[in-house]
Amino acid sequence: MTADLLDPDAVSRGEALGLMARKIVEGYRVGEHRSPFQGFAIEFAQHREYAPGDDMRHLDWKVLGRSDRYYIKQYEQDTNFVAHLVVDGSASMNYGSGKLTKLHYAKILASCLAHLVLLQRDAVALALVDTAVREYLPRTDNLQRINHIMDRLAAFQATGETRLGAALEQVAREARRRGITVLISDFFDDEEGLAKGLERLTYAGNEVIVFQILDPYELTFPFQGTWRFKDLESTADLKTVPDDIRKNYLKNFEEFRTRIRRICEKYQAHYVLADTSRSIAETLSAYLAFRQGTYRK
Amino acid sequence: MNFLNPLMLSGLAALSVPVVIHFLNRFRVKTTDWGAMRFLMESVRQNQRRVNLQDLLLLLLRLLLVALAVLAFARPVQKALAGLGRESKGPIAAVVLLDNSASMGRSLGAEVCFDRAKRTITTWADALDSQSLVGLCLVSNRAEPLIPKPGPDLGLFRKVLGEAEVGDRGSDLLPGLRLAVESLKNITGMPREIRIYTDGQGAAWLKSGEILKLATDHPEIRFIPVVVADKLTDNLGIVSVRAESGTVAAYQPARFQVEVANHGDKAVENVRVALSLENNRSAGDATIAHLDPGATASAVITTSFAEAGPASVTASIPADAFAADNHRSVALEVVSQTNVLICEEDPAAPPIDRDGFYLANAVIPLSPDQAVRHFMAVTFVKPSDLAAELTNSSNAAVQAVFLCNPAAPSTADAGALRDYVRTGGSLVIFPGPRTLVPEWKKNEILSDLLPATLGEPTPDNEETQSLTWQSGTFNHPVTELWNDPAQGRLSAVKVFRHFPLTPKPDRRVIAALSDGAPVAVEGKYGEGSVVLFATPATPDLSNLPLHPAFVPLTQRLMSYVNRKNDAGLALSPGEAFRRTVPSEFRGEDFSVQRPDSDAAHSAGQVAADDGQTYVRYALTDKAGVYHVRVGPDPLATFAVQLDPAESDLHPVDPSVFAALDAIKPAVTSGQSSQMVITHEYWAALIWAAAAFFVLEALLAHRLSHARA
Repeated sequence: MTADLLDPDAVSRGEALGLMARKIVEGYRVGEHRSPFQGFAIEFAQHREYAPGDDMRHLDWKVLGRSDRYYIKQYEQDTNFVAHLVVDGSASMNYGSGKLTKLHYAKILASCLAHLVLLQRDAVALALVDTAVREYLPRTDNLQRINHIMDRLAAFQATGETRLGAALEQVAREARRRGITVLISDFFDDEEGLAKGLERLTYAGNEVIVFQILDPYELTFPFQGTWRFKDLESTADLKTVPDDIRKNYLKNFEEFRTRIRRICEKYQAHYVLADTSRSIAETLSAYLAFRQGTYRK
Repeated sequence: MNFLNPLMLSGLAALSVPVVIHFLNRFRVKTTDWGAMRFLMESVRQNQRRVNLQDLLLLLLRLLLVALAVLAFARPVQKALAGLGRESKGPIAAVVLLDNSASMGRSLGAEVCFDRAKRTITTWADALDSQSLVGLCLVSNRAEPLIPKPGPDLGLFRKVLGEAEVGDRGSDLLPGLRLAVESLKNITGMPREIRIYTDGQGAAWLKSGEILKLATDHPEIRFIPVVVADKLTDNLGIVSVRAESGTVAAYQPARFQVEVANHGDKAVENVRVALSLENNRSAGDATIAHLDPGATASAVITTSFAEAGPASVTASIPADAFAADNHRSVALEVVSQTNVLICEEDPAAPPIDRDGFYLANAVIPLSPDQAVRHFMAVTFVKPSDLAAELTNSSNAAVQAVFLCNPAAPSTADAGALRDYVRTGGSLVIFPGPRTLVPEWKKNEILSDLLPATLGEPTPDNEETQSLTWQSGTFNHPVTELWNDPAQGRLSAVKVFRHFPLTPKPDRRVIAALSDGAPVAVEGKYGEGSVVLFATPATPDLSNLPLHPAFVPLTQRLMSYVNRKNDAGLALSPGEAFRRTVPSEFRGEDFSVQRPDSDAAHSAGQVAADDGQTYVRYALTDKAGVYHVRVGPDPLATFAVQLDPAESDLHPVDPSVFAALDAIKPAVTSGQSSQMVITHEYWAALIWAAAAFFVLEALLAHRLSHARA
């Protein structure tokens, strides 16, 4: 079933994309019953007396220590977090050695995340970027808007180069409230721009999750013989014998990924490698499991 | 550098295969879009130089591999013109010329020169490459090929070499060199050389001009003289032994003149010369008081023979390093009496009117009572009886016939004279006023017999201009005595009229007139000889018969013409002995006792050919006396004598060897067939190709791992 949903043509259609996201998300939610994003970005409002049945996690232990009274911390009802989904639309995202390009994969991943967030009645905003924010869907917590989000995602085409730094600056301005920003890109950009963008987002109080979408061919460079590589972001091309440069390429690529990871670590962003040869569900569930484990501690 | 399989070089086209593959790989390009271009660019930039170098290295290795394989199959060889190299280490084709002339028998102290040469050759042969081809030829004044065609059997070569013996022949390397060149001419594929093992005696190189020309004409063959003897500074040698009188008669004193030459560098005093007869019976001795370097002196020893028949004498001098010329033998026929026929018109006329009177007195210059005891007997015969006298078997021992003032011999007389001379007789003709020149000219037999054409007598010039005999510079043994002015002057002989003589080719002029016209001519005919004078034996046309020199001239002429009896008895080594014998011996077996044997050995049968019965014996390689017998009866004795030139051991001019060594062939396209292979490289190339193959495989494997 999931495999059917990964048909590139299906990804190009909004409803199919939404259906795909719902299937994936529902599959994930079976047995979980709890939002993976619970506890995020909720703002304290007041205390109230403890009543049986209240979640002990919300007990204010400091008040208990000072006054020996049981108070429950209450949060503002309208302070649901906003998840900004930022999808890279640079031309390099159009590469795919298998059925799905990286962009397809990013779209599905974004759809899934949007669905998840809306299901727990949080807000979702969508930013489609390349050199700048090409399209921005303001936040919404209406689940009915999911179809609109899917349509936008489905219609999004990757072209041109990436200026992620500038685009994130723009997203940071839009995200006035603290929330979660999910960056979905291959990050074949200038790393300095990425760092500046992350800095800006985290400074604004955003938690940032970075999904680096990479094709398995980009990770292993398995080409044999002589190949002409045509740059997706420009008209440049390069004819070479991959055997000759594989070692250096892999070394350079690994160094690149390490640098990206370090930038993420620097700005306390979660780094997730999304290998397009793995299923979306696998990638997503692995990350969410990691995330739930982290916040239970 | 040459190639034995040059067609295989076309395989170099295979060099294009790696190149084609290289370019095919480059052109077989797959295309893909790519996002992570900057990493690719960076990697390419980092790798490109190294990869290019590696690719180039691999390509070069593969090209080299193909080239080496192709070159190996083409069999490259190093060639050189045969004979160019110094001592070749590879196989060669060589002809060994071993000088076995008499001079090679000289002692070098512990060994003789010939044995040292054989030892030197053996040492050389032991070091030869087993693929070499070797021929062997003994060379003296003739070439005696023992292994005519160079072959690979070195065992045979050593065996034949071991059996080779030194001879008594003279020296002349040219025939052997020509033979060697012929045998090497058609051999290709290896260096060719002629190795001449000799004592370096100059006599062997007398024809050095022709030898150098031969070497120059065949530059592909190297001429290598190997001198095995040290310089010999002292050598005395007997160069001649002869009976002064020419004819030796029993019971008559016989004077033998022994000539000794000093070929050393120092004068020699008191050289004792001994003469011995057969069975080593001493016949007397004499001493040469002083002998300068390079000079020749004679010792005269007188002896006598008790009986007529074949005999021999041997002269000897004290031994020195070269023993072969310290003794010399001569064979002779001792006669009991010599008959001389003087043919004149009227033997009964008063002596003063006879044509042979002066001549008879010159032949036997003795008083009548002494003349009867003389070994020489003169018989006067009329022309009409001449033929009968010559065919009379009882007169078979006629040594000479003198025709004095003959008119015109009949055809029968001419035929008898011709047969007489052909079988060894001597004929001396003194034409005179009675001689009918036209008749002589018309007579074909006489025209053939005479050594010169007889012309009509010249006008009498007694009143006007008298001719004389030449004053000196005589080149004939009969008259050379008068080259010494102390012996008198033949120019005192006046000639008023004479019969002009036109000598036939190869005839010798005994003497000439002052105007250069021959006055006496001598020539061989068959086994005999004919002497024709231009004046009579009477004082009619010249004063010769009255001249004091007439007697010694006649005696010397007698000795000379009689020596023909002994001429066939003195042979050079290797020269066949041939002697006419009475016809009753025809078919009989004869035996020969050689000088190196004490017993006679069967040597063949008395043969007959062209009306003559004769014995012939050719195995005369050893110097010394040979006795020929039919049954127990001695038939003849002859002597083989060393070439006097062998006594001269002076070395050849070093410039000859230098000139031989300096002959360097010019490399031309026409000489390509004369090039020989000195080195082959195919095996080395195969090994190199294998090494490069392993290297290429290792490198390719390593690089593929490095790039993966």
